[in-house]
Amino acid sequence: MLNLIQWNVAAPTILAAFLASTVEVVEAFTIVLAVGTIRGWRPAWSGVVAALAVLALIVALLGPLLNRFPLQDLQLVIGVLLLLFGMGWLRKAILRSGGVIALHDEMAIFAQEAAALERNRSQNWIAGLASFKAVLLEGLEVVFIVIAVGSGRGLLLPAAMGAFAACIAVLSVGFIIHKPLSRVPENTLKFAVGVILSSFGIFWTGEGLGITWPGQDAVLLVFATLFLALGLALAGKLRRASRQSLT
Amino acid sequence: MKILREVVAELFSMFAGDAQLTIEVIALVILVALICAWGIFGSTMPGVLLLLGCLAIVAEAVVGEAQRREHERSQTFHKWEGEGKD
Repeated sequence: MLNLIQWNVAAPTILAAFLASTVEVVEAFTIVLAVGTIRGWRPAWSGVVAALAVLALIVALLGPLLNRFPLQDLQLVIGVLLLLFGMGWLRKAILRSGGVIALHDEMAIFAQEAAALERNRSQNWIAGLASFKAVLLEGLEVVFIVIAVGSGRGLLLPAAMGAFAACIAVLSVGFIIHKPLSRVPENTLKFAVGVILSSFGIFWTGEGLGITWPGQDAVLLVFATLFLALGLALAGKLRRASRQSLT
Repeated sequence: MKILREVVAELFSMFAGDAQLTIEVIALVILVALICAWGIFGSTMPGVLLLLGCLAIVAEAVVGEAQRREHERSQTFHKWEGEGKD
């Protein structure tokens, strides 16, 4: 069991895994809901179960490999991947927040997927495949997030708990309202996750390169504050520029 | 086979969706690694460089993309305006 001190260390990891996984699970849920509503729950669930089986197989095969890498090399590789992933998300979230690119619309995605499923009414396996693909692709991102935020300091279990909690939360709300979760502030979540993952990325990359961070783990707060301040400033600047170009 | 291709494409886009950002981040990490290896700036300064470099890359990626889209939008508008006059 994790004691109180370990919980303090694990909290940012759990939070990062929970928030990032929430975004991914919401996206997968929209597609599975479209399949279930339009073509019935049998192909929808078949796709989900098959995708979860493939994901479990991938984790079972690749998971043990993580222990074979020296910790510092693993931190460097994971750190760089986190920088690429986190900064990519942050960039898109700032552009969406600044009105440069359109916001992710779960209702529109649901309608688009439903229309595609209506067109292919004769083949049930296509519906199952849509469900399988959505869960597999979003699930792969969840697996990466769990490994990325958890493996650098042996916190895979707390990271997996964060991701699992996100699955339970999204599926519970989805089961109750039985509609696409369009009111989830997806861009705000992506903004926050971009900030957190970029901060983790700098931290792990630095650890992998042998950099000594003042304040150790607490320096993550400084990184997150700076990324957040920059992101908000850029989004505000883009919104002002957008308003000026309209007038 | 198509699914496998889509999975690979998705994984690729997770980390290299923006080619310029990817190249800049990798170049920055290599530079910081070299500075660490030389050991001339101590063990904290390379960290400051890594942090400032990442912040600069995000700012440049956002501003660059916004300018590119604005340029495209104004070109489309001028083209549309020109067609309207003909």
